[in-house]
Amino acid sequence: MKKIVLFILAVLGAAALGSVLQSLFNLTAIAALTDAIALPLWFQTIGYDLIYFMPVLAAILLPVMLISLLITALLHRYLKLSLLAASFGVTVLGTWLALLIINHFAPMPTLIALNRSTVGTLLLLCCSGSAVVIFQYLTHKRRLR
Amino acid sequence: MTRLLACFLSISLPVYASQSIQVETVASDLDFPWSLAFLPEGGYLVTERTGSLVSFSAAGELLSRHSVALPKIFVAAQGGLLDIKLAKDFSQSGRLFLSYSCGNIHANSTCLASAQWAAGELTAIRPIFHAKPDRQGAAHYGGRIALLPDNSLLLTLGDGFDFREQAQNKASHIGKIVRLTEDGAAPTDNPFVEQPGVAAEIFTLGHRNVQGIFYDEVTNKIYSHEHGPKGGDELNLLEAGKNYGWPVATYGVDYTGARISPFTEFAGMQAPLHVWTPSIAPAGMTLYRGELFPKWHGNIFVSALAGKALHRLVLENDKVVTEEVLLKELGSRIRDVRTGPDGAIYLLTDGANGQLLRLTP
Repeated sequence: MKKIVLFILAVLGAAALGSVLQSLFNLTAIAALTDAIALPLWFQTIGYDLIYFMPVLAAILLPVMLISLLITALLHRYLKLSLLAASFGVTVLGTWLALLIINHFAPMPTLIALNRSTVGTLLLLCCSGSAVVIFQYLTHKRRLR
Repeated sequence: MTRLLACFLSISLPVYASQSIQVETVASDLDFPWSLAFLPEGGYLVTERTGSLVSFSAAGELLSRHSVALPKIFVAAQGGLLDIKLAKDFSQSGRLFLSYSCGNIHANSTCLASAQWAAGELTAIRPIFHAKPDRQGAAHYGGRIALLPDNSLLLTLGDGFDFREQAQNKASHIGKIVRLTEDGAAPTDNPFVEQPGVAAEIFTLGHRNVQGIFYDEVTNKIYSHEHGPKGGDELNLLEAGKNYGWPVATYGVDYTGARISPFTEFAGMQAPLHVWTPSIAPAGMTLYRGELFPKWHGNIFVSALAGKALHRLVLENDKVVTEEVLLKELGSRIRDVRTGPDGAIYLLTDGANGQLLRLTP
């Protein structure tokens, strides 16, 4: 039960972080076109995205992070790879593949605006990768010590 | 089997509208038809996004279908052969203009070509404009053409979906409407001519994906509409040199639900005359000046893809005071709407089995 709660928190944490990053990227782009954006509008937009965009991102990341955990468990068990390093690598790769698949089948070239730039994409991948690493650390603390 | 036989089936639709409408199927089996032109001697030319130009007699009989040999035409997703516009002197010269997407999946854009139409053949195809820079993907090409009284033409362009901020970059054609001479050059009276670092072809800027434009000779006004993202489709009144706001000012949000901009309007940027939220995906436009529907004289008609309907807009003092949604019963994505020389309203339905429809009272 504890693991399920922690996993859900990890997914929500990754999605929340990704959502905030996307807000900051979008607002930075708009600010560059308009001189400046008032501070309250930054917070309003971050809040708006947490309500309306974060659930979409969470729905994308949930299966990716779940499958990544399963693959990581196999790699750790049979290839003796470092649990945390494998978790990060597999999740980052899984998220990247998910974005490629989504963009291939979606009518638009790039569904998630953060995914339009290399830096944005890397940051988004780090969100899910880091969340899985934290999840693994919290659920395997004793073994990792 | 014969792909295009004029059907001339006449359907009387149940009328909830302000005006009874008869819908005739002039032609069917069109492969993603995109645009329509009326030949002066009667008959029609229809572009298919998949790259063909189809000609019909006035009775709707298929006369020819040619794959158009446009240089570097790029047919994918939203790209391909787009609009067709006959030159003002077409009766004498046979000259016409075709817009299309050009390039490849990694580097493509919207292009414009001129050509000669004679004896059912398209000849002397000559590219005259290539919107720069090229971009990746296969979305948001704009592609509609309008002719102005001085024989210059307006070509609508899109933002390529992933490059929305470029709609505010005056050095780029992305997200602009350009005004060109018949040879594709920038007219010397364009609004940004001779400004350093600004593309001289730009007429207006700040557009997302403009797929409807109409010049009204009676009022000398130019109307356009454009696809918003999720919500925020716009009807605009165009003025040379003005900024229409995308992506700074928008009533829409991203398809994921994310906010694109905190602003719906912004100082120095033109507010739309009308907004559609949720989106109807406007794809064609005419301002009715025919005689078959006197009640609708001066009304704007907008064909909708996602909305699967024809929208009739009544304007007073540049404000939309009434909107009527017509032809929902058809259940068809409608790509284009035109006023015919006979006063009838013509529609193209979208899809692999698209149709040319004629509306009469």
